[in-house]
Amino acid sequence: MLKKTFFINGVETRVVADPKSMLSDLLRNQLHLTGTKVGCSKGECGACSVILNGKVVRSCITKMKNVKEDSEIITIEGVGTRENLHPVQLAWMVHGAAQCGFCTPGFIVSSAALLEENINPTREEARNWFQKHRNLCRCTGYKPIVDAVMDAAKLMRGEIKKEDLWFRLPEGSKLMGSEYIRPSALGKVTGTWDFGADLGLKLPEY
Amino acid sequence: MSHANIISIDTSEAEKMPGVYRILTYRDVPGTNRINGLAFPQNKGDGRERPILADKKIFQYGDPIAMILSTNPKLAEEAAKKVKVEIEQLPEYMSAPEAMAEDAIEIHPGTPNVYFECGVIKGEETGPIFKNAKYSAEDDFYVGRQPHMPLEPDVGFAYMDEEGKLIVHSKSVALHFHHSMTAEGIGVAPEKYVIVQNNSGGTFGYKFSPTMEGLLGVAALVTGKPVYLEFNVAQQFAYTGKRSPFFMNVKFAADEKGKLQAMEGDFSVDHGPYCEFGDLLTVRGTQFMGAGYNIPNIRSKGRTVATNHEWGSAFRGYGSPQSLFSSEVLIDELAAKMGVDPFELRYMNVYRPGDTTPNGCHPDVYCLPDAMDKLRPYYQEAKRRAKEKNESSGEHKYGAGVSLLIYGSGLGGVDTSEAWAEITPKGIAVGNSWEDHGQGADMGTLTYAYDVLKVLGIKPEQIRLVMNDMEKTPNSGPAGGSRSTVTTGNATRVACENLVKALEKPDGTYRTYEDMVNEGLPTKYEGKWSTTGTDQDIVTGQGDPFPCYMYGVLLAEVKVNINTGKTRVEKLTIVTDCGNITNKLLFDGQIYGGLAQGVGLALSEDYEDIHYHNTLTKAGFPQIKDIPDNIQIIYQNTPRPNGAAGASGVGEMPLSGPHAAIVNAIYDACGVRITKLPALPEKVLAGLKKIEQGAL
Repeated sequence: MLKKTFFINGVETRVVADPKSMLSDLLRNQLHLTGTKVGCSKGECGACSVILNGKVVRSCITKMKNVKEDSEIITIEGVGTRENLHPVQLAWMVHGAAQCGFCTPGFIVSSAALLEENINPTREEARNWFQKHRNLCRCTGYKPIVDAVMDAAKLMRGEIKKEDLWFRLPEGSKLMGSEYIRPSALGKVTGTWDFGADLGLKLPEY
Repeated sequence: MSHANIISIDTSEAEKMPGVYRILTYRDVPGTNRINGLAFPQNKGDGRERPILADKKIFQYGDPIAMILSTNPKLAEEAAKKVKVEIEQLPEYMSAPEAMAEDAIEIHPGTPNVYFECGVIKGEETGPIFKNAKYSAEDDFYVGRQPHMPLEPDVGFAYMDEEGKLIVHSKSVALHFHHSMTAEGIGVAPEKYVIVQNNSGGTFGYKFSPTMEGLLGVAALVTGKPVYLEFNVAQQFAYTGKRSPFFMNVKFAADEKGKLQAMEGDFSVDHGPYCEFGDLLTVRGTQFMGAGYNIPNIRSKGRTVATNHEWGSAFRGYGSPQSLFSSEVLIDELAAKMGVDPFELRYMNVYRPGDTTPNGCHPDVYCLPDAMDKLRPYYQEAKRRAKEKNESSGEHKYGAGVSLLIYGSGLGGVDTSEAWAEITPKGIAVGNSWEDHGQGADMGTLTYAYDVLKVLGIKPEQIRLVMNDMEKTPNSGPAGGSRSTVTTGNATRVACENLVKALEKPDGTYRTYEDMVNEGLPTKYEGKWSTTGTDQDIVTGQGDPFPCYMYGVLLAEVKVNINTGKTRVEKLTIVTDCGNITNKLLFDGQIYGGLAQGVGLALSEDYEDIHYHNTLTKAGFPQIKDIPDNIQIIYQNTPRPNGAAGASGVGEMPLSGPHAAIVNAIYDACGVRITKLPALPEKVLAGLKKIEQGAL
């Protein structure tokens, strides 16, 4: 067993972990930070991406014994919250970039790290970033995701405001044909939309 | 191991392993241990060949034999290794032609491997027409086992509730179907069994089939304890259905101008060992081979074949990606033979008012000529651009190709759905079982509900959506066949209309919840919807199966590296016509996502080799750089008379034919005609070599 101290989403946290276990095991199974999803468990899909000491890593293949003492770990829960969305999360909602939402936390964490490093990326630079970090999406064809990153960058650079992006249904209008944001989007971009494996961890002890 | 008789199953050693609570085999299943595949009456099998836990035979790699119940999944996996299964190996038929061979044994003894047949008999006999036709084209086509590859592997749990009911939570996108397909097999009374859909990380159709519902149900029912099961990626590949391969031979006959006079088709559908919906899928071949064109005379025959490869489940497009691939590549071959432009040959033949589909009925709207007129300038520009680039390019060749994209909204014949709307002390609640793969069932429901309920002066966010819990929500049918918008959208609208009618007072104002209670009026109202449509005849294929169709015309621009054979899709331009748009974000999301899966189907995705294609990477999952960033949607929204507020579905159209446009573009770029997918670099290279040797 390992005893380590981390700064998880800014909070100093002491953990005890199996050295052979993965960072995703610690986050999900022990700390119940279920916003981080595990898809392939092989480091191929990027759903489990978190920021470890400033770098995007795939937590499902990051062994606990390799996570250094005093590491800073940022998960989707630390990127933004329902009440205080990160620009990437807001732009994700506006562009419908979360469909099933399973890749969303990993992508958003990865995007936040990209914009930390380069607040003015080209579309091609954003695509290269996701290619390099192996963020996979099966639903969106990736285009809405890049659209979201570009608008998030504009928000962060102060070129546009939240109100410019956010869709508001005009008084008396129908929803039919509109760009109204799906109700589940907020949960999906904040990692609070529980999938089967998340509910599985939250079942009562038996 | 893909086909064997089971001689014995010995769990005694496994039971001694640490952490094992209990091991269950078929002997422990309280019910019939058979999943009901809801076979058509014309199906030669009874549809009850798929066991929950293998008993007499192993029919395919991945069949579950025993369930280890443990509080520790790692210990359960260790124990699983100690289960001893004695088997007698049987010949493995890993494709339709192998299972159709004369000496092949019956995979399900008593049922022939070819267990369902259907066809099209439309117009005159086609034999004489082909004899006298000025032009004809014929080829063999193959579209293979595209894996769905949702990022969330299959997962679920089950428990007995306080009233003794079995509650199963899964990724089901067909709650009420799965209930009737698995209750008898598990051995639970239907009224004591509930399925709930968990939030699902993508299904794309694989969850139109039951996967773990039977396993979870048996384990919870037998032990009385809560049980949880998740598949890893390898298990996801091995024990969830895949797109069913079609082996197709198709012929076109045309007159001197290129007007299509006749089509002949022969196709075999490899549906793996389990028949569930295999008959329905085979019927799709009769509906979409040659779809989009007025073909007055058709003779085609299709058959469903049991094999020992992965069982076939629904996958977005469901038979149309296979069918359209054949006719949309063949029409390019015909154009090449005639020396005419494939775009214009299509244009001459697409449905005009009065024309009929392969099923002999009028389509809902005639929108293809307009759609092609919109695409033509893009096509011509793309051809010009490719030509220009090819003049100066070295190892890269550029090309442009087109394809029609068509699918129907519905399951075929009359299709029904139910929903409800209720006034509560807190506001309005709307309930249905519009299952969500990730496409946005919540937004669809909210749209059709709000547009009725807004007269009450409420805001969209004040409507509570109650969805996909059989205990609370009615039978809205499955989320498949792009049917939900049309059927459940309308049922939801009707429920809300019924509620609003009941709330309305003679003076035109509306009753509150308290008013309703005080006046003794019901607070909850149902809405039901039935579509138009007639079942088609199984032998002739003639009928009017769908209330709405979804159309697209796609232009694909590719770059082929002639040294490596690698194809890149550089740009996709699509004219869409799915009627009115329900929600723009959802619509665009479906188009982009469907096209991306078409790029994968065209170039990389496969689950043919069960021992190799078992990771996302090896099965050809497209990364971001494999999908063009340049995707343009041109909207043409012809309102649908049988739709929901003029809308049809959308989800399956964009995956019905993009792979044909891509393959046609490869031909345009380098002269290599790919007829069997995926168009892997080695296939393109082999084609280039043949051209070099003058064989083509």
